[in-house]
Amino acid sequence: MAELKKMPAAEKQLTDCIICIIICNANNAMKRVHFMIFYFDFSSDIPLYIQLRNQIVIAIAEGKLLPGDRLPTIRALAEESGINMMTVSKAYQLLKQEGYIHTDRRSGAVIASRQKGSSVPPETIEALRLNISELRLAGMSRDDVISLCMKLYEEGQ
Amino acid sequence: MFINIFLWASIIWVAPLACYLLINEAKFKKNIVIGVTLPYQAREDEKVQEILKRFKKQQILVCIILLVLAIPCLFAKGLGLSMALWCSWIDLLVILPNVVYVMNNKALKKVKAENGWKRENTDSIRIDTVTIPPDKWLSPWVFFPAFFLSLLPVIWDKNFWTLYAILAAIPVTFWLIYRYLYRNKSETIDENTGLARVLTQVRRRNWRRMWLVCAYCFSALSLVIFLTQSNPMLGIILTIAIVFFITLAIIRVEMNTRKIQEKLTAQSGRDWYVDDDDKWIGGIIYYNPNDSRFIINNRIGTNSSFNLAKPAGKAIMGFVVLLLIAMPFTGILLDSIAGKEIELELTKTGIVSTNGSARYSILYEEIAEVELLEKLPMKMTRKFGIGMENLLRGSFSAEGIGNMEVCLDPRYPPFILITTRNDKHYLFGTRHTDLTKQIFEQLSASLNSEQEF
Repeated sequence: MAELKKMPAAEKQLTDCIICIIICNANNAMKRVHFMIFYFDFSSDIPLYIQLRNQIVIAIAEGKLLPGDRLPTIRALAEESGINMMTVSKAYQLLKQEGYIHTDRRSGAVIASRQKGSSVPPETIEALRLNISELRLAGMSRDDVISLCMKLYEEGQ
Repeated sequence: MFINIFLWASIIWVAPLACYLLINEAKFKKNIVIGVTLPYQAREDEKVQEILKRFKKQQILVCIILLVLAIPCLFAKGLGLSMALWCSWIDLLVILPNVVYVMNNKALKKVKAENGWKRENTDSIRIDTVTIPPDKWLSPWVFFPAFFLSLLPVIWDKNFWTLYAILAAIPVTFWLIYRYLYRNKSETIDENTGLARVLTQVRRRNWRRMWLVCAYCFSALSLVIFLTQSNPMLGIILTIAIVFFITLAIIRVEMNTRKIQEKLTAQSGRDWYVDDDDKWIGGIIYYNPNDSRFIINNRIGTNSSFNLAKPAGKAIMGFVVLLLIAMPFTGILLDSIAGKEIELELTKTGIVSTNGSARYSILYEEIAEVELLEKLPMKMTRKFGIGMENLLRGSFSAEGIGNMEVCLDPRYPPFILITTRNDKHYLFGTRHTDLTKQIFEQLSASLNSEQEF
């Protein structure tokens, strides 16, 4: 302790930082941390709010985000990514409408628990129909499409 | 000569300081050196080392050139010429080191591309939610005592209330800067989330420290101004000491941040690492149309910068460029104002003093008393206006008189002190001693005849 007192300010701050890194890493290792990595492609034709919405939906399906997990606040995610707050808000609104998340003032956006056998929106069925048609036109056989679907489904288990 | 030495002493140290800070950019911090992100293996590369050495030498050379160029400023005659020379010198101080920086940044980028260290420019970003910092800020009440202390002297000294109000506004401004000129973004440099969190904490802590220190130092400045009114020389010395302390504190905070960034990231850059070089023009100017934020954090150190892709960023850059161009002309402007004749005349209705666009007029019936002063009143301090060696114009305050409007050349006494019926004071003069005396006599005579009548 006496040695710490003698240290120059920067050295002391550095020691604090190293201790802090060890604690952070230990915390991450000890408990299940519900976090995820978002990617945003600004050159893509897909709007940013849809990109965000899709990544959250996939993360829920793959079990990376569990019911009760908190999402970053709109402001924090906007600050971090540089995306407009309105864009993040739009994605969260959409997820809320679709029942993937619920929001309240205290906890912010939280992953909602979904009942097995929840109804699938007709738009999803239409999108699947379109995707299957595209795969067919690309020359994939029925079996190839089914095995691809099974593979993708398994990834989400 | 005293003013020249004073100006020299208060500006000259900026050149070695800028040199020191820029040379520090030649040390790897967060995998970045002279604004270029490089992988770990590039640190020992011969070409990279050569550029870094050259950069340091060139910065030292620029510093020496600037110090030599400052010598003629010491011998400049007149405040106008002195201002023009110093402003031109400041322009060079801003431009020359940055030109060297950009040149070496370009050279490093070339080496980066030749060695295949350059990552393909993508329009995508990666956000790790675990590193997102909490949205927690110091309460404005922490800055409130500084505001209160700055405003405190108003209780005893109402003459300078505008000055104390300005000084009190400074801690408030610092709180606004602390709160809104910082982007609450994580300092992610690679996949080590713990490191990112700590680097973010270090930056936040030092940012907070910097603005708190500045706020409280400026409140001390307000107290110094109030307490040293009877001893202006002590006031000047203490003001310089406070400014020196603030500068030292800011540099210490900045260097602490840089030192920690350097040590904590000494081993990074081996696998995946963040490379934002395509968003930094010349390693100095941030330009990212995909970033909706206007304020961004500098990659190295504690400071903030602007996103030039935003209209506000362009406006600020335009303003800075205009300011740099206009600065040397301020001296010429001052000289032209001071060179204009100070006219004093008696009209049918009253006395009128004019200098350039400024005009002061007092009706005869408003005048209560007229006095001829052989020298300027004791301890005259400027509140607002021009205070040059050949022109005093604007609102001043003097011991024994209080607030007064002044328009005169201090080199040519005597001066006419006019007190109005509503207790306002005016101090006028011309550049012709006989004319001033003559106007005083005429004014006294006309006032006496009015009183007799």
